[in-house]
Amino acid sequence: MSVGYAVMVGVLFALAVYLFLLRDRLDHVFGIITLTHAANLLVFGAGRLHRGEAPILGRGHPLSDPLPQSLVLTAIVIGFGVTAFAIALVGRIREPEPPLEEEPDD
Amino acid sequence: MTDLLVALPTAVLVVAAAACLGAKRSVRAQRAIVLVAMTCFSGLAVSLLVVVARRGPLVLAIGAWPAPIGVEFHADLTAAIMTAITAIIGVTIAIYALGDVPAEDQERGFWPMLVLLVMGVAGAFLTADLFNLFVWFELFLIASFVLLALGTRRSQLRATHVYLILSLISSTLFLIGIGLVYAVARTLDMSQASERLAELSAVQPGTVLAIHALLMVAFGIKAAVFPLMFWLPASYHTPTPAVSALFAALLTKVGVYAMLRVSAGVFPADLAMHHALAGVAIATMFVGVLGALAQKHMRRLLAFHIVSQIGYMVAGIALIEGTPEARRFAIAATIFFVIHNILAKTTLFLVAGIVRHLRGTEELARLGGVARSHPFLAALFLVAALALAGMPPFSGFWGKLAIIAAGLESGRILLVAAATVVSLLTLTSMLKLWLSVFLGRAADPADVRMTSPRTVTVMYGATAGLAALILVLSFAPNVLFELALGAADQLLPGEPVPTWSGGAP
Repeated sequence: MSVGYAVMVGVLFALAVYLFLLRDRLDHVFGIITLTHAANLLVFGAGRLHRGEAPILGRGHPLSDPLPQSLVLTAIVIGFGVTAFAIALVGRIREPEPPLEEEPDD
Repeated sequence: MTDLLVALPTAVLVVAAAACLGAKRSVRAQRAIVLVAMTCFSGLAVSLLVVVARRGPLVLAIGAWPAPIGVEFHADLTAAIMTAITAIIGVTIAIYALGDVPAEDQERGFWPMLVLLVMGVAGAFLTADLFNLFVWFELFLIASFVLLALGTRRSQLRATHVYLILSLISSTLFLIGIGLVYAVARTLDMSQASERLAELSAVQPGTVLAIHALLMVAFGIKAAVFPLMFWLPASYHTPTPAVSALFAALLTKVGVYAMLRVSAGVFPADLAMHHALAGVAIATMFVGVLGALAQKHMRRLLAFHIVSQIGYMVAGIALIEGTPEARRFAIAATIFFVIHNILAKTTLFLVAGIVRHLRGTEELARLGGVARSHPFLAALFLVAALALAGMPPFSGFWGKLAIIAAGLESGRILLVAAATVVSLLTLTSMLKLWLSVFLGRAADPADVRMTSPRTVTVMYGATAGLAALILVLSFAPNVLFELALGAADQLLPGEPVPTWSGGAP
């Protein structure tokens, strides 16, 4: 499971880098979304992956660590807020240029 | 109850930001709230500095859970010094903004964002937990996005886009670094992590070095070191001068602070890292100052100087090597240089903002003769510019002297040579500003006066206050340097410093 997980995180990072290298500003926003998710999954994986174990009061030795999960939760909230701002920003930039108010010549 | 003093500075600002958002309709009320809050914040920050300097680090464990489980506010001397300078900048910018920031920006939420930014920066200084540092970083970054975009001119929005993407990549690298630190050290508390990383480094030096490097790249983007600094000159000149000055004062310095704390206090020393940092420092100094020489726009020129001066701070961090005594001296030199640079650089940006208000342009070719019409402004510029260039007896001289002494101590001759040459180049480019803005003849010498004389007086007052602090630092550098030496003692791992917290144990 760990290998598959690592490959998935790697693919997400590669996709994010690819999106950042594109020209369109909206693609950069998708890049942000992908990148933050890749990082979140990586931090989640840093707490070790155990299937079906309770946090703290795990039955056996490999109990699941709740700390990375709470870190990821915080990071998701922050990433969501920044993404919303980025979408609004790109929306404003992509609005057509307002027509010049007066053009004496032409 | 004294340990509450650690949390109060940020608490005051949170309340003020909320109050500003509550008083959304009245700009006048927001101004009053911010001025009162910044004054309280400075009072608290200065008392924090005094208490920490007298009695040692202050710790406040939220919910009375001790460090590895709970999240602590933690103020050692480094943090207290940085919080105090943040408070000084906060007050100065708040006063300056009264005259500088356009009315429509004030209505759109300049005041709450200013408070949130200062709060985030102060919080980042006052934590000893890596993840908390990340959260504070994000808080002030989000406020800085809004401040940069405020005014919504197209150039500002484009600059915000670049800044936002780069900041986010940096934050993500930071988060990954945190995840990896947790994966190998099973803790995020800085002092605890430092012990475990030192143990691990004996077995797997490569793993520890890789994580260290990842975090340094993340902070390097924030601090704008070569080759990660191109976003800074592309964005810092676009917002209103008060915002430029605020960013120049605080944002890159938080990056430097994080580099300092992580290198000196968390990760074990590694020769490869020091070589890399020294190389980066030299490149940053040169690229910044040469970029500045080519500029024809006041604040763009100053923005390149931010980069160049960051090089000196990174040099200081690179020199934290060798004997404990040498490391202690290098840390103190770095802290001293950061404080000096915050004062000098902010003053220069504030002066540039006043010139812009008086003449209505920032193009060097169209400016001139300001010294004749506004001699006091010219004097303020001279103090800050000579301090930045490192001319004796100004504060920059002492800062650079300390860095160069540390460089000679560890035998990095190339770094010392670069620091000296870049000093001269800095002087050249300050001379360029002096000649084209303050001397000579302008194309249209009459003042445009974008604002009323009264508001310009407010801006003068704020700028003169900072310039006065530069003079104090110039003629009494030993006060700050001794504080910085004390801070270095607490920052270095291995020598546990007894923490003092008031009330019952």
